[in-house]
Amino acid sequence: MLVLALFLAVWWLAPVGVRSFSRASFALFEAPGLIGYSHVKDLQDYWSLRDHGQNALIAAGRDVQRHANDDDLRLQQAAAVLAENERLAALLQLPPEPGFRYEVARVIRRDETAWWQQITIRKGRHDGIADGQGVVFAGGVAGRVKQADEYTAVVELVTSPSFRIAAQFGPDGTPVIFEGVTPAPFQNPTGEVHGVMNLDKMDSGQPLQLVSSSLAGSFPQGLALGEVDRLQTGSDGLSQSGVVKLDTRLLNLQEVAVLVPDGTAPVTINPSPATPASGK
Amino acid sequence: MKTTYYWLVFTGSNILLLALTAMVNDGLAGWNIALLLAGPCMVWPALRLPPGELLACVALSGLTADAQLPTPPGFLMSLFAAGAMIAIVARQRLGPMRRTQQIGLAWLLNGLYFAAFTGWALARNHGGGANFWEHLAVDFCLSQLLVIPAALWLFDFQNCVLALAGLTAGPHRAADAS
Repeated sequence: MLVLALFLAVWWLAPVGVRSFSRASFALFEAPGLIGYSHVKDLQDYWSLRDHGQNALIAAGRDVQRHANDDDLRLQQAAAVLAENERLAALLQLPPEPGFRYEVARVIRRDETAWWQQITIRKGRHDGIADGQGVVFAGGVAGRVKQADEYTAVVELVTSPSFRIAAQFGPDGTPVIFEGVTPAPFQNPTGEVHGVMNLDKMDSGQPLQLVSSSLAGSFPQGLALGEVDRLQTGSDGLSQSGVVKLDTRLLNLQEVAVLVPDGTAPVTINPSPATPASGK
Repeated sequence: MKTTYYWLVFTGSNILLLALTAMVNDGLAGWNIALLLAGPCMVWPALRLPPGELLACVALSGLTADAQLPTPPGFLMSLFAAGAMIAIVARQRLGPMRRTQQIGLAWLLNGLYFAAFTGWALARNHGGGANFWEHLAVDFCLSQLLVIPAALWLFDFQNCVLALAGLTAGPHRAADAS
C-alpha cells in the first residue's frame, strides 16, 4: 500500500509534460490495435455485403445512380451560386473566406457515456488533423477534434455539454449560441440554442433550421446543426432559447470529414482510403 | 525477490476486459448507453501480486485505458491504485477471500469508479442536466448488473491463462485464488 501511495504521489507531483508525454506514448502504442480492429470491422462489412444477392446489388446500384444524378444537379447549382457569390464579393471588395480541405475518416470507436460524448477516428496529425478543427458528416456538424494523436484523433461530439459554437437561423446572420446536451438513453439527440434576440422568429409555425455561423471559426457558414420547433423567453426576459433536434444519424456515425484549414483554396474532398463499399 | 510473470497475465487480461468493454460500448452507442466494467480489474492483482509487480500491473493497465479517455492522464490509473489499496485492506480485515467476496469487492470497486467519474464530470461542468442523471442512472444500473458476469468471466479467464502458463501455484497469496 505504501508503494502504491508513494507512486501516486510521485505521479501527481510530476510535471504536466511528463504525464502528457506518457498519455501520448500510450495512445501511439495503442493506435495499431485500434486501427487493426477498425480494418477487421471493415472486412466484416465487406463480407456481409458480398452475401447480398444480385437483385439487392442491382437495386442498390440503381439507388446510387439516382443519388449521383441528383448530386450532379446540385453541384451545378452550387457552382452557379458560388460564382455569383464570388462576383458579388469582388464587387463589394470583401476579404476571401478561409477555405477548408475535407479529410474523410472512418470512425473506429464510439464512446457516448453520460460523462463524455466522443468518437475516435482513423486519421490524426499525420494527415494534417489538429486540435480544435471542425468535424462534419452527411447530416451537418458532427463535432470538433479534441485530441489529435499521430494516427488517430478523438472528436468531441456535438451532443457533448462542453460543445458550444456560434450559430444562426438559416440565412439570418444574427448570431445565437448552440450548446450540446447529454442525450437521454433510447432517445434522439438534442441540443440547446440560447441568445435568440428576434422575438418573431417562430411566427411562420415551421421548424427553424439552425446552421453554423462563420463566427464559429472552425466551421464554414451554413452547415446544418438541427431544427428548432419552439422558442421560449429566457429568464432575462430579453432573449429566447429552445431545444434543437439533431440528426439521428449522429448516433451511428461510420464516417466523418474533418475540416482542415487550407488557406483560401476551394473545398476539396480527400476520400478515406479504405472505404469498403466504395467502388465504381 | 524473484520476479514472476503473473503481473503480465493480469495486465493483459485487464486490457482485454477494457478493450471488450469498449467494443460493447461502441455497439451500444446507438441507444445512448455505455457500460463501465473496470471493477474486477484490480481484485486478483491486489490479492495475489507482490508490491513491485502490483505497481507494474496498476501502471500499465491504468495508463493503457487512460490514453483513450478525456480525463486527466493517470486518472483511471489512480482509481486502479485506490482500488488495489481497498482490496488489500479488505483482505487484511477478512483474511483469505472466497469467490463471492471477490465478486462483491469487484462490484463495490465498480461503483466507486463510477462515482469518481461522475464527480470528475460534475467538477468539469460536463453534467447536471436532467438527461445527464437519466443517462447516468441507466448506465449505473446496467454496469452494476453486468459487472458480476464480467468478474466471473475475468477470474475464470485469468485462472485459465495461469493454468496454461503453468503458474497455478501462485506467487504470493495463493490462498485467495480458490
